[in-house]
Amino acid sequence: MIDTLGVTNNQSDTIIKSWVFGTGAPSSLLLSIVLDNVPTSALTVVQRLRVTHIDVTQTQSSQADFNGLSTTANGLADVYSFRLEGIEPGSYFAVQLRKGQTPVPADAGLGGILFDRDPLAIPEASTVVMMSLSAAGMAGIALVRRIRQRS
Amino acid sequence: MKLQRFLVAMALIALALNDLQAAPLVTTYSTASNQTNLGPGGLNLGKLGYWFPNFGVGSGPTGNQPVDQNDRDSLPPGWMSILISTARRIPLPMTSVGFRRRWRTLAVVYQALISSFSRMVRVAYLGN
Repeated sequence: MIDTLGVTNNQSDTIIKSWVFGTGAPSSLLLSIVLDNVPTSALTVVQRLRVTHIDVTQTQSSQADFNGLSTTANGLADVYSFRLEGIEPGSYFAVQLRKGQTPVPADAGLGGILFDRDPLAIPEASTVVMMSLSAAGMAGIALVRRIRQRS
Repeated sequence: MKLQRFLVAMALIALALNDLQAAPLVTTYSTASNQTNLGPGGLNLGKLGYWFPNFGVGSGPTGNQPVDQNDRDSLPPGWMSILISTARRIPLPMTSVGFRRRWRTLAVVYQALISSFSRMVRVAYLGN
């Protein structure tokens, strides 16, 4: 764990500015952020974890928070997961920590991030239609065969 | 004839839906406290990739050092880039204490092997 996000005025600043999606990124995913991976002698108290999603037009499209985290700081790693949807190459997300300690400890920050498939992902609508189309095609072929067999 | 029309209509609908993109959205999903194993046998996370800026090393950046000096990067090539401030360093007077021997390390290194293997398989598949 390292203070990768930096801290100014009790809130992480922009040492790590953003995580930018490129070509090949999935359209949705599960983002997990590791906090509280610290020695018990130097507990890091994070009150709020925020992830902001910025679209390809550089407009903030959405954000979500985990609040009230301060009671969980015990030196054992905690994992907070977010779902990101509507991902396009060029869109990005940013992570912000807000701390509840004064003075702000220097050793607090982000432990790491992990990515997984979106557990709630459903097949894209076009995929469903294409599957239906295939099924209809198969049915059509079967129908034609039956007609030919009768004649 | 009816079947042909139906198939054409379905194809047009598929094309139209393919152009639609879901609105960007971020939502909270879950929490897991007091974890020591994020990989197989634990939370089993990081299957698409992970990035730990200062992971599992005997010494770490101190003072004005790159924040990702000891990173573990298992992100798929191309689909994610991490923008760190221009200097890629923690600005003074802020000091990074980085890794400490007593700090907990998380079991994700094994995931790197899996990820590399998956990537090899994928490359081989695309090569065919």
